[in-house]
Amino acid sequence: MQRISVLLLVLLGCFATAMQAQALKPDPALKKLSVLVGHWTYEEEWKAGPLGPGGRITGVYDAHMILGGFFLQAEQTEKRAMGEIRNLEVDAYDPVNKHFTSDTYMSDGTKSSFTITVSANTITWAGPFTVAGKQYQFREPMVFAPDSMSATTKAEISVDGKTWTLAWEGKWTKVKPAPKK
Amino acid sequence: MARTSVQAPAPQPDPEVKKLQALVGHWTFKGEYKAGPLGPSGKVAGEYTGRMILESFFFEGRLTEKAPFGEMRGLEVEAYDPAKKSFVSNWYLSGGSTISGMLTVSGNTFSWEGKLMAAGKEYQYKQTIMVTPDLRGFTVKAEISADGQTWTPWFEEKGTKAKSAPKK
Repeated sequence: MQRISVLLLVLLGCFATAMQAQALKPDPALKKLSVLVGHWTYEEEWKAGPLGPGGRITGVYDAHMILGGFFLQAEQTEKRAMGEIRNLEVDAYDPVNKHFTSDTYMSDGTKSSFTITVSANTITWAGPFTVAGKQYQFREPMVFAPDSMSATTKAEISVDGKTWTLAWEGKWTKVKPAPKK
Repeated sequence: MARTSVQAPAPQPDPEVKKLQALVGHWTFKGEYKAGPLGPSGKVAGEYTGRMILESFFFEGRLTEKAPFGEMRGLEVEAYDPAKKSFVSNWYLSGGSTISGMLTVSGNTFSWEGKLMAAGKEYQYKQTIMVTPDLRGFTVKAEISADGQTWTPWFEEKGTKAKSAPKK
């Protein structure tokens, strides 16, 4: 009986170890975000609307994988008509719901949380957000060139989820690719 | 990437954000993990650095610890939600776990309640940090629950501030 208990303990120990080893590997789905990794510059043309008066915006975006490759972190700095805005973005994979989440913290105090979907050469951020107490829907597909060194973005917002209004369009260029491993 | 802030003159952080100042600085801590669904029991020791970021609208915590299951690192971001009059808390942990929930602050007591996603499973999560009156130490207790009714201790730690927050 004692031998059986010892054997059971050993087996349980091995199982627990295996569980931990398995748990420490990033989900393969996270590789879909690797196209974002690197140093980007961008130009966007914002349209007048709920997000402000519109105008031309330029910025830089640095993305890298963090915490063992389980998350993507990006720092973004952009120049707007009203001044400079800096952002911290953290993207995570939700294995239960099988989608990505994206949290962005902005230096004007705004926080946005969106869902990311990846399809072929397009990464799309989407979800609800609130401005001045009014709720909107947001979607922004980013379409990558075949060499993944450039991309175009087109952000739209909607009040009812049916009629969409262009918020901005942008062109992104990767000036420094992700470091080779 | 996707951001939906309004192009407007720079606002100021809500005064409530100052309540997080007690966590700013470099801390070291020791404690113990309890055996449970997330792993075995054992001692833990680590470091935690808290600072205000992005024009002091947000609090960022960076964690490194040696735990019974190996080294763990984490990134925490706290954002104040004036509509809910509480902080929205997000933790991103090596190993892929995340914690999302609300942080309420009462004096020197910081209480988190939310959802822990670990190894493809969802748990309810509670954590309370009590900072000492001299702001140089803290105790923390965390519990998890699979059903929100039966709670299991997860870890207990004691910390000491090793370095004060930089003066502005």
